[in-house]
Amino acid sequence: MTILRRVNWRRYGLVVATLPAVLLVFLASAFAPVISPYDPYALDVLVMLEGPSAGHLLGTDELGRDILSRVIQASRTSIVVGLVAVLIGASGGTLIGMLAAWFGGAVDAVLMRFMDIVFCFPAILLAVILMANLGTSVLNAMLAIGIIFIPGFARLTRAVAQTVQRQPFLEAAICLGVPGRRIVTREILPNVIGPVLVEAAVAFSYAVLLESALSFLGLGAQPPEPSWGNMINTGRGFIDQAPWISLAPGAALFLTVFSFNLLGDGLRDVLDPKLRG
Amino acid sequence: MAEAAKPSGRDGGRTLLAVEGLQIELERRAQPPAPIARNVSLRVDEGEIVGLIGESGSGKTVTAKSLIGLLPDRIRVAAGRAMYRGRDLFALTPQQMRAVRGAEISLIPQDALHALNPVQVIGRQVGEPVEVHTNRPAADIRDLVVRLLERVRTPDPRARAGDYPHQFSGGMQQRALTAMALSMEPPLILADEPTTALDVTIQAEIIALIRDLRAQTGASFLFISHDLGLVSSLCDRIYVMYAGEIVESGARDGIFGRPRHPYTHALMGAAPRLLGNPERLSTIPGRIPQPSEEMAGCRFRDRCPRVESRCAAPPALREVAEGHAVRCWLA
Repeated sequence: MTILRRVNWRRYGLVVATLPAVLLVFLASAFAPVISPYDPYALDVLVMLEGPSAGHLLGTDELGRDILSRVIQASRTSIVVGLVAVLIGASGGTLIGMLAAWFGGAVDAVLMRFMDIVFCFPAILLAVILMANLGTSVLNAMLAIGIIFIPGFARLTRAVAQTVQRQPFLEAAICLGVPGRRIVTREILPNVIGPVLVEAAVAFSYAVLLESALSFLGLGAQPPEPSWGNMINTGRGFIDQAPWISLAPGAALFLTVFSFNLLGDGLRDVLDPKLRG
Repeated sequence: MAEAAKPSGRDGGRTLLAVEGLQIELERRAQPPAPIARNVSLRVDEGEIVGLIGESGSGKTVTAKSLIGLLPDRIRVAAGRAMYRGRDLFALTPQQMRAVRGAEISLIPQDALHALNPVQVIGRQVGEPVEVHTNRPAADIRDLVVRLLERVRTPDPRARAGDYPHQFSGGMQQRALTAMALSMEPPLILADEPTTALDVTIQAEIIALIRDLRAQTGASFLFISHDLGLVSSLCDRIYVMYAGEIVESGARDGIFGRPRHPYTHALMGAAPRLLGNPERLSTIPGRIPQPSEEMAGCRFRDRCPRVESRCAAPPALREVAEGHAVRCWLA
């Protein structure tokens, strides 16, 4: 038990606490075919709209498909969409924010005004517009959600980079003859990474939520491909006879969003250099 | 490289840096530029510690920063030369200037507590100039960093090289910065009030360290400060700056033994003493004129206790004794 006492809980506590839920979501999606009790696409007319039982832990839907298996299968879509969208948003936004902060002036003004334009649309509306133009598919959902995230990451990166650029240690680096490219990659970027990671964890949960919203509206994953969003939508028609059709994917969605939000807070604690050591 | 340097100075040391007629101006909208440094000339010989003292706003930091091309936006060198080993620092291209910074001339910054990157370990930062200016292997640099930290008296340097800045005390941060400035063994080090952010006992350590380093490496220092006590104990020669002008210059003993300019006099009166214990600390009445304020005649006239009618004409900097120059009609 001595090892437990040696851990800096103020720093790592929150991340450790969210780890089980985060791991559960990731492992479920990674090993979906192995742990699913049934084939998520298999119809069974004998067990339509059945409540939770030993045979079907979370019940069945209107076509007799096993809800648990479909929730697990759907987590794959959510995780992949979340990861890819955050990757697009974080890398695009960080690049734009760094460019704006480093070059300043006209470059900054043009880039950031363009970001403002993207920002001024409500996220879900922008996603719907993009999806309508790109066509409905999971791939386009990732792209649309990723694009929505770019302005947030760009603003964050620019703000942090500008603060760092005003710090005496940057001038100290210039005094010692460090070239500009190295100053960007070695002095500024490491200071930006932390806040971007924190934002990424929160953005991931938001991406999962947005993907579900798009699927709910029929713009994301297309049936029979299960997605938490389209499962909730399907369950809407049977909400008084078989509420579990909507409740199970809703609970999964809630768990994922909640734990990744907490993970973001936890990462902030871990990456804060003042809590180190 | 050094062939253009001419022998000079009291002790026959060779001139390392000679600034002549330096004019630094602040550009303003719809107005003529305001001079921040006016016709500043100063010299640093090899192995010399030269003090540049004055109140806040006298232009001493800007003068030093101009030498390594680090002036803020809208402030520029309008005239003058800074000859360093046969080259004019003001005529260098940005690439050439970058090669000079850290390797030939380095700067120990003022704000020790914010001059280290909080997300990088100390060792990495101390070794950065060497990493940038040479292509020595990483293992070599690591050893050098440990030696440098040892030289600036960091306890347990091998282990502490892996620490982050917040794990260092203020004095240790300043010592790490000093190690960083020394890492390429530059001939000239600009120390911009390196001890202002530190408490008095640490100040004494840093001063002792600078003195030792000069003895060990033969490096020259341009030591910028407003602290007379510090300057008097450390520097060989002193320049006193007021409102952008050098008002008095000379050897330490000349300046402190017999200050000729009323401003230097007043500065010494304003420095708190442990002994003597006057009822009140004396201050210099009035305030330093802004760069934008044009004044005919001596710029210290408004605050000078000995002002006379001829002070309405600008006094020239003239030599009153060997190596001792004063910008005052009364000297």
